[in-house]
Amino acid sequence: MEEHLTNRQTETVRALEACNQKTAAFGLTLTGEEMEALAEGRERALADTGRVEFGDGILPALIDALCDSPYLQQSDWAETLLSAQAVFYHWKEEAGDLVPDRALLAFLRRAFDGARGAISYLEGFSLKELRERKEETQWDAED
Amino acid sequence: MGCRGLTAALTAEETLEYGARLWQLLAWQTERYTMGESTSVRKETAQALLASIRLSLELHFRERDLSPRTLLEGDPTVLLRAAEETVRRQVGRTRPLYQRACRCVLRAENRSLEETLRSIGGFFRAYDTQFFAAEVPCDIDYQLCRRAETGDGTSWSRRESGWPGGWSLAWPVPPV
Repeated sequence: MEEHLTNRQTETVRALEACNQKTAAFGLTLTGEEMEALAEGRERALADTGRVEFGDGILPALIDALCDSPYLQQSDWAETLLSAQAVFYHWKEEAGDLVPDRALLAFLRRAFDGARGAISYLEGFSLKELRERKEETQWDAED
Repeated sequence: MGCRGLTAALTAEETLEYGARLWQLLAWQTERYTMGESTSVRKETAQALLASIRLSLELHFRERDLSPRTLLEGDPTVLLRAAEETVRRQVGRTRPLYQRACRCVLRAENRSLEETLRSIGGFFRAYDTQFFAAEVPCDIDYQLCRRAETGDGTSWSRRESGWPGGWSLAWPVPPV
């Protein structure tokens, strides 16, 4: 099992390297050290929420969902991703298996922009609380 | 990965490869379970999916008299699909036994037995041969006259109930 965890961190870093090519267009890139921190953050977040994940995980999709937000800047890109990743897994655990990742990511993006990029603001709320604040009751089928 | 027992005949290197193949199957099965809509599942869900994979393979190997080394050859997903079919067939063979038991109980007038049999009937509707083959979705209140053997995962066992006249009934054995 430990052998697989080590391989997974390597896979995560490779996936993030591929993402850099896309996000560079928005002035956002990750250093090697930041990628490793995100890979480690992924393991911690999964352990904290009692979840198991395969392949590249949610990070590439999370980057895709956030990278064109007007409230992002290079100076805090890595830190924002680290926090957003943790928020996503906590919300995923709360939402359960019925809510697809794409719906949750779409909501996270709306919430992130609504908070003008203050990811720490989102960390203070459960998914239920935040959806109530934003008066969202149904998951949009188009998300 | 907990492969002891079934893989006792494998070398250490083969056992490692067996574990890697199970992990690969778990990743594939998780994607099937979530229909590609989630990259992650709860740990308990992953454990149940893995137990199902292990049990299905074990039943398939036993029925076809195959070596566990079969998993080390070719595409493991093809083998797992075949194993799922084996589980479905075995459940299908159990149904007539259950129906016979139900006919017998009409003469017994034993409430505990009646309720247990009714619960087992629900099993055939609720049992998930594809993703949760190691889970037994029914309750057994009726006291078995002989201790049911336990094993790794779930297995169907035919036991003499000891009820007058005697009859064979497939009892699900709860997972250890």
